[in-house]
Amino acid sequence: MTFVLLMAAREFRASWRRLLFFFVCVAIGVGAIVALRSIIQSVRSGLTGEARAMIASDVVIQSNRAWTPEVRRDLDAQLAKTPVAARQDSIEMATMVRAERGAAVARMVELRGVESGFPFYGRFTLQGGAPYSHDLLVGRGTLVRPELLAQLGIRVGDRIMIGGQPFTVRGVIEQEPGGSAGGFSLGSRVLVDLADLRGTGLLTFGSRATHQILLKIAEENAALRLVREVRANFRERFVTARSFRSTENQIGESLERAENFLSLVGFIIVVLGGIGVWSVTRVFVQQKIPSVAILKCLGASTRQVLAAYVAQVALLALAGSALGVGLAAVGIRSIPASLTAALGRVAYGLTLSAVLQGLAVGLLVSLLFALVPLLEVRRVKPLLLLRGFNLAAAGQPWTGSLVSRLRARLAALDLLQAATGVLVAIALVVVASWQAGSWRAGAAVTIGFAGIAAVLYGAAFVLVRAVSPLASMRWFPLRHAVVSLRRPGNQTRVILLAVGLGSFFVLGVRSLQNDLIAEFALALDPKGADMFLIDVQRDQAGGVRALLVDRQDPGAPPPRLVPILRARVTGVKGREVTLDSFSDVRGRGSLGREYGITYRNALEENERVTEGRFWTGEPPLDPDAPLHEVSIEQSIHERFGIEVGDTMRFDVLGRIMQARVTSVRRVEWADARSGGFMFVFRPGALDKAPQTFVGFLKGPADLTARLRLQYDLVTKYPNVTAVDGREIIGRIQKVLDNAVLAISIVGGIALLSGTLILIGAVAMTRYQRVYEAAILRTLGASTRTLGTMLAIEYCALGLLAGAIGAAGAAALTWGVTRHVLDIAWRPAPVLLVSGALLTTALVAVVGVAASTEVLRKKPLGALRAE
Amino acid sequence: MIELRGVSKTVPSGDGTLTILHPLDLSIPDRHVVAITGPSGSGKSTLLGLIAGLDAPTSGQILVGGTDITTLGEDALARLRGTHIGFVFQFFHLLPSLTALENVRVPMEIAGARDAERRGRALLDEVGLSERGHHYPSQLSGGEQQRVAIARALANDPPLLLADEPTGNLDSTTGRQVIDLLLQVNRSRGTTLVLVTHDADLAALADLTIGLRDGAIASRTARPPAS
Amino acid sequence: MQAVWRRLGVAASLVVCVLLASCSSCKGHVDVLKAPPPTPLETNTDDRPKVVILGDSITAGLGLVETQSFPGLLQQKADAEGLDFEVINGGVSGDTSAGGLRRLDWALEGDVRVLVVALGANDGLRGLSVGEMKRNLAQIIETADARKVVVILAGMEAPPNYGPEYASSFRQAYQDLAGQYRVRFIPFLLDKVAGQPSLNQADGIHPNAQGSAIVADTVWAVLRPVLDQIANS
Repeated sequence: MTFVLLMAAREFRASWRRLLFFFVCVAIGVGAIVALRSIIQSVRSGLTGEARAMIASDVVIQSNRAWTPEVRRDLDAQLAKTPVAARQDSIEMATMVRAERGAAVARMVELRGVESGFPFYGRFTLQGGAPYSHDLLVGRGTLVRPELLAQLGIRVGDRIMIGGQPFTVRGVIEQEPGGSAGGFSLGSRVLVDLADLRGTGLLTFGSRATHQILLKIAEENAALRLVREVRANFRERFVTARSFRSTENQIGESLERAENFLSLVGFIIVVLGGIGVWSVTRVFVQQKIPSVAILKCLGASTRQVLAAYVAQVALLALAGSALGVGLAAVGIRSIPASLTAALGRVAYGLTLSAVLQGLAVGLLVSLLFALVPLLEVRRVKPLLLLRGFNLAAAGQPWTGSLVSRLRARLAALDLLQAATGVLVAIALVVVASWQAGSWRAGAAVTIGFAGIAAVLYGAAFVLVRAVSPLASMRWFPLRHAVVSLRRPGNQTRVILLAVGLGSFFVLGVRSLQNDLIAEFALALDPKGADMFLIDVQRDQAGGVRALLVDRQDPGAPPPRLVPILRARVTGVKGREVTLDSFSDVRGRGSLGREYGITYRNALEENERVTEGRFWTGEPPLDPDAPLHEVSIEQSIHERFGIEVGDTMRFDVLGRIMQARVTSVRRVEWADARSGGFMFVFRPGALDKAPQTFVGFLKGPADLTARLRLQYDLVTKYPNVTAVDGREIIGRIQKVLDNAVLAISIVGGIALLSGTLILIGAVAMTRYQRVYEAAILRTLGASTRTLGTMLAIEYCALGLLAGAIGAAGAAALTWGVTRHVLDIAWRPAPVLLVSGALLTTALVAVVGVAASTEVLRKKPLGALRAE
Repeated sequence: MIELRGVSKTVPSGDGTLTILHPLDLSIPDRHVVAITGPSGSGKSTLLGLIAGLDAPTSGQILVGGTDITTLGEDALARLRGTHIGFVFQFFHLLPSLTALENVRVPMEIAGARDAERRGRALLDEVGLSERGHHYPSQLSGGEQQRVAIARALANDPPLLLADEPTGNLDSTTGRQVIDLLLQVNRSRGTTLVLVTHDADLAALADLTIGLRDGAIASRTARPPAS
Repeated sequence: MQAVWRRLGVAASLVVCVLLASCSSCKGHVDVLKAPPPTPLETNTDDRPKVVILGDSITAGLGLVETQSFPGLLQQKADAEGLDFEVINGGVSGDTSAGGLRRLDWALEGDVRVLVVALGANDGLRGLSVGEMKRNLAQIIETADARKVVVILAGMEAPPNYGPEYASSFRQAYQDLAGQYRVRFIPFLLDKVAGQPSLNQADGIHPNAQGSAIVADTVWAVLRPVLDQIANS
């Protein structure tokens, strides 16, 4: 033991400069893991906090029927199996209210009755900053939205009639947690005490109300399980359940996508950090092998030697990891507060599990890569010392067929070594799965990692083979660069592996990040509509449009009024498919359903023509023309085999109309800015047909102006309903903004730390070059020649690694966008190509720069040091 | 007393085997100085490695102090080397990150000796480097490094000292000093000394000179007892 | 538009189905407009006298196959009784009295003898002004009268949760119209169906197949004498 510790202490003292570099490399790897994990955990809790506030609870069980005693009993039995921290009932319904005094004008509102303790999550904001308390509701009190006050012409303190009973307005809701059951509503919120609501008599036979049970469940898995079970067991009884995670809406979806991305990055950074630690350990151990042989010669047993160096590696890794945790703490602190402030309550700080994971990865990775080569030392006969054999350079030469090399490897396989390798690898998979939160994901990424590593290993072999003919070139730097590439025990494999995997992950994360943010951007358009009109009649369209334009803020995009008609496909006559009758059409599944159709003379932003020609700019057709023109969506083309040139027959509210398919359009459905229609007609055909318009507009920013616009609209066009989506869109935007911000921060840190790790890995290889460069210098090679030689060598490695990494990143992005994130894959050739080139440049610059010391140094020093 | 009985060494090579040492018998009496000479590739270093237990013979027995070391495991061999055999290399093979004194102390520490510090200093003093104990190998000349290596080899006061071309990397003056040191150790401590050398002068000083050629003993020359 | 609505997390409701029917996420709504034409790509050659049901999703048969919608059942009843009429499903999901009024001309084209006005449910669900609804329905009746089309007015009720005042004024509007124009009157289209869990779909609004059959019976009780009368004249 004394010997082990003494040896460790001496090594640290003697070569602390070199070890410091090792430290820093380990520290960067571990620091990246810890920092990212911490941020991810903070952001995740922030995001789920928002999502919980959206439903004011962890789980909502609801039904549009009153709870029958049997349902209630069975639900109670179900809940008894779940660790429910708190529960309460809530009822939501539409009803008409009017002011107790004054005009008899009645308004539809979304009435919600809640119990004391509501909400479990989120916070009420009341006008004037008054705190929310259930006491405000007790005894026929009510809280209402400002728009209702305006509509009814009342003030706080006045009374409104709900179900024929007076309720006193005790406050005005500015912001409310737990939006309406449907996600959005036609009336404004009126909040009352649940008991009071029950006392109004509005709940009776035939009443339409949403009955809810809000649950607080600390354990997330229990909550999700409850949702699954309620959905399975109570579907027949019209009971549904959802958790804050449910993906029925954009929040849940975004949350899941953001979380999946964050997990993936967290995972990747473990691998990247592992690569960094690996390259450090590898060089460290290689340098120590001669010492190990000497010690064996001096009588040290295998156990003593292994203990001495494993202890050193462990100490080194632990110290480096500790430094990494420190770096992470500093790094997180230095994220500008302006960025994090946007995330509201989210507090950034190191989390214990992140620290533990970082330390575990740092230790395990270094041990994995230290133990296996050190174990090999057991079999190296110290006899080799007699030959002056350079053990550091020992390795399989890059000759012989791959098969024979593999066979040689297998023959030389050491059971203990293999077992150790497998054990430590399993430990790493455990850490990775812990990180990813799923065994399957852990195994999947591990397998993917091994796959890429195998490809890179094969690529290294191919590269060496491919460049071998160049070794007969006369140009010295090129010839020696080639020789270096295939020299046994050189850095070819380590750089290809480290840089290849590194660029694979960094580019993968980068393009995933871009895809994800592009996806969110579609939903985040700040100029997007936040007010929606339904049921605008054709004779009202002009007047409505004028009114909207008049009231919009300057610079707002013009309102859109989209005509919608109902139609059904009743026949198709085409090359691929002929459907004679409506019953034939119905045989084709959804082709037989009622479609909403429209007409216009231009493509929308989210559409592009894939076949045929759209009638942009052409005049409308005569309404009485026998054959009209229609453009179909790609999916209709693909699913039903309908082609350009085919004739389709439509039933438009009892009238038959024929149209020739003149183009196929692809609609980007995820793009929220413009709608999507399966069938778009050329103007003229549907002029006489009954139609209504749906309006989309960016309403005025000022609340009073919005209220006045809604009021004026409804007064002038009583059948039109204006839905104000601003609040809910605002909340969705907040969550999305946070998600985008988190993704950007995390992606940025991943890029930065990934690059640093790669720099470390490449720079680390210089220790192998010192001796060789010194000899070449001694033999008269100029700095310039040596530099060129190194540049060629590193360029070749960088380019190959970068190219394979970029190709892998494309594959990774494709798979992840489609199967994990469920978003559109956007090919990113520019990013990938420039990524590969930047990788090449980085490797070349770092490789050469790291060797400048070698180039500058007097050769004798280097030789003696060796 | 070191006895080699029918010791041979072959290694697989391509389709067949390559014989490095043909079966040979050899006895080295205690306290003797034995020189092994021969041209490159004659099997000198292999023979030395076999005696040190650094390599295993293909056949035969090697008895060191009455123990057949061919029956010992790696760790037993290591222990044997640590206490019974000192080794000096042509390329010194000092641990680069340790000072001279620490290099000398290592074998004692491995063996678990308690007074490593004092004995280390004494040994350095014995090889004439008491002032250089805190220097690193890279700060020492070749001769100095080899003297540190000799001191290290003597750390556990082994009865047998093996030296593989100890002067091969040194100039003649320095080489002479190293030889003198080794002979002095032989005389003062009674350490058996087996050295591989090209150096005729050095060989001439040995009690017994074994000439190897193509893996077989070609000559055994005993020096007449010194007068 | 699909995404906009999805993003708002809109649950299926009468009103929004207007929009959703255009989107891909609403697959499976099997509505009925009318029986298919007999030959491919020829225009309708049915020259039987027509009965038009002007209505909303209840008429369109939202969530049902076409033959289960109450106009489809009425056609079967007429056929079974040997009454030679074509029943046209003029139901548009989400339509209000205002929309019905605007598409009246389109609906009345051809040899229309009977108009069943089954509108108002969406006006009620959206809490629209009862006075406005009454004016729209009055205009529909007047226009049909002017064209000598027999009008059957199917009444609606506002759900009780809208409060007694709104519910009674809503009900009163239909009774007033029936009295004023002396049209044939079905007091409540969803009589015996509304509020019965076993007769409605999961949304609690739209009748299921059994419910639809009861609605058809309710309408048939009033429609049949009218058809008999026309057939015999």
